[in-house]
Amino acid sequence: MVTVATAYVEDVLLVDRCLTGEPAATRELFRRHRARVHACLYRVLGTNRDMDDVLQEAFIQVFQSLRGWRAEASLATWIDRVSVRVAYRYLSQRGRRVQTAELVDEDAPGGEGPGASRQLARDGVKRLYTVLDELGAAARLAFTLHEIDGRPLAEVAELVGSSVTATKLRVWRARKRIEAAAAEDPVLREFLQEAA
Amino acid sequence: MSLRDHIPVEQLDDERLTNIERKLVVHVSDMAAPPARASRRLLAFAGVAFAVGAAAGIGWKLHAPAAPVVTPEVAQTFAIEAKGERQSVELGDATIASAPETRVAVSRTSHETIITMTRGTLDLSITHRADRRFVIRAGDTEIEDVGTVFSVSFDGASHVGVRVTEGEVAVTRQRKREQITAGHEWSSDGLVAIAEVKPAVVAVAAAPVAVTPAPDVSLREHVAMAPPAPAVHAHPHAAHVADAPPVLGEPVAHAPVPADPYVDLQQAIRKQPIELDPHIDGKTDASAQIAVLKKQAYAPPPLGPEASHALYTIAVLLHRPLGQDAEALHTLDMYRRRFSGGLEKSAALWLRVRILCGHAIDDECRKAAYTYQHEVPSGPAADLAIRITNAQ
Repeated sequence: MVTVATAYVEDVLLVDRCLTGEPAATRELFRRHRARVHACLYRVLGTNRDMDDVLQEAFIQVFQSLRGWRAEASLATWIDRVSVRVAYRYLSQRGRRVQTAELVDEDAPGGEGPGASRQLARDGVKRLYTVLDELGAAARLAFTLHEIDGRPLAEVAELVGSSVTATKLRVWRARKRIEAAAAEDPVLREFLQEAA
Repeated sequence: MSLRDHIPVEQLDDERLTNIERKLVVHVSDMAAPPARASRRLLAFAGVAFAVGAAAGIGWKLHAPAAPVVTPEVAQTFAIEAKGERQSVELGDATIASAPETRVAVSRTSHETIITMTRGTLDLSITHRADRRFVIRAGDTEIEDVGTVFSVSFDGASHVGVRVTEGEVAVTRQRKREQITAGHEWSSDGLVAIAEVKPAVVAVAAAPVAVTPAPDVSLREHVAMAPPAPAVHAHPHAAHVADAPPVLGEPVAHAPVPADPYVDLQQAIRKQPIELDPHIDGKTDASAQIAVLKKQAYAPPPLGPEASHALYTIAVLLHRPLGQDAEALHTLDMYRRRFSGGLEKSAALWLRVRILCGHAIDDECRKAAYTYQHEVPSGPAADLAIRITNAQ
């Protein structure tokens, strides 16, 4: 209980310092939350290309809206919500469509020894995001936040500002689309079976 | 389908993160600062407004008698150079006496007097006016008076010394601002030491000094002519000893200084109870209570009396029993911003005085007390606040 209260007070005080424009507070807030926000955005976008812009834009939006944080939600949840909105806007801009197909190979984690399973994982991820590129922004967000980022449906619904039913439907449709693609693509099918 | 563990996140390298952080800090600073450049739309609007205004002005001019032309104020500038002897200059609300080998430039307008020292020593007696700044610049140091008799010495290179005999000055150097009160010395070496100040000199500190020495009579000479000051001990109530004759120049006596003149004042502050105290003594209980109160304090708007009470109570609990005074002060700042007309306003102001004055009767403490006595003019706490404000 002490920890919760202390964390709360720390958040409130930090936000208050940020509102006064104190650079040290700006840095502290960014450092506290950047890893979580980056991980979330990475799972949605599937690449670090443009991540600098997206992550920066997410935090700019956070600081611009900070006065609106009333502490009815935790600061982390509120920041995630703002970040998801930024990701949605990014995905909605068709001209800046995410090109994961050519990126995942370069950006694939690890890189030590081209083992067969590692290669399969790389190819699987690449093909998964190729399919996700064809989905609408809302469906992609719902699917990635729920299936890849591991958030419960209710939380995803809250983050994307939609009902649980609509979110569940979007996830289901995205899953069907991926399964259809997997039926014709043995690499994707094997990757999904491995993950299941 | 669970893909979380099969799609690991590739971390951004430190350089990219640092770049983002740097841009973010700059952006946030820009947000806080006023816009340096107007947008095109704003400029267009301003252009149209200017054109309309100009047309209206011309029309009005054609139908109205000519108005007097207002010209911008030109600063009065002159130099003082005392080569072999001391010089004294009377500026109306200030008297400046310069020691031998002192060179200064004075620039005066109706709202500002700036004295730039090249080298030497100045003794100054200034009657403070709220509508007028009085600043001495010595190298990279800036000294601003707050109603004062003080002296400034500058070796022409880097060493600056300030000695305050009465009142208070604010010294700014390398963006660091310090308030130096009567009986203290400041030097660019970074030391603030208690000076040996004659008690009578401190005693008249709160009284406004009207000094009009005859031209060419230095402050040191003026001291020599002044009658001997009565031996009054320095005390927080010293402001009442305003009838003592003004004594200028360097303090000379070696009178004993009271061990701690503020002990009784601090005891009185501690005795004054915290208003609306929830009386929770255990630290765990206090933390738990804060967690409950947060839901009320940060409820969605419109914010009502429950929210203001909750925020104030959080501040009380942070102060006592948790002992987190810095956070309590932040919370009180928040309270003031969010609930400027809250029912706990006077209690919150007093809590601020109590926290700030609990450690030392310093400038921050006095400022808080000053605010309190203006917002809450009567009552035992107000009387105490007046005593704190007058304590020099």
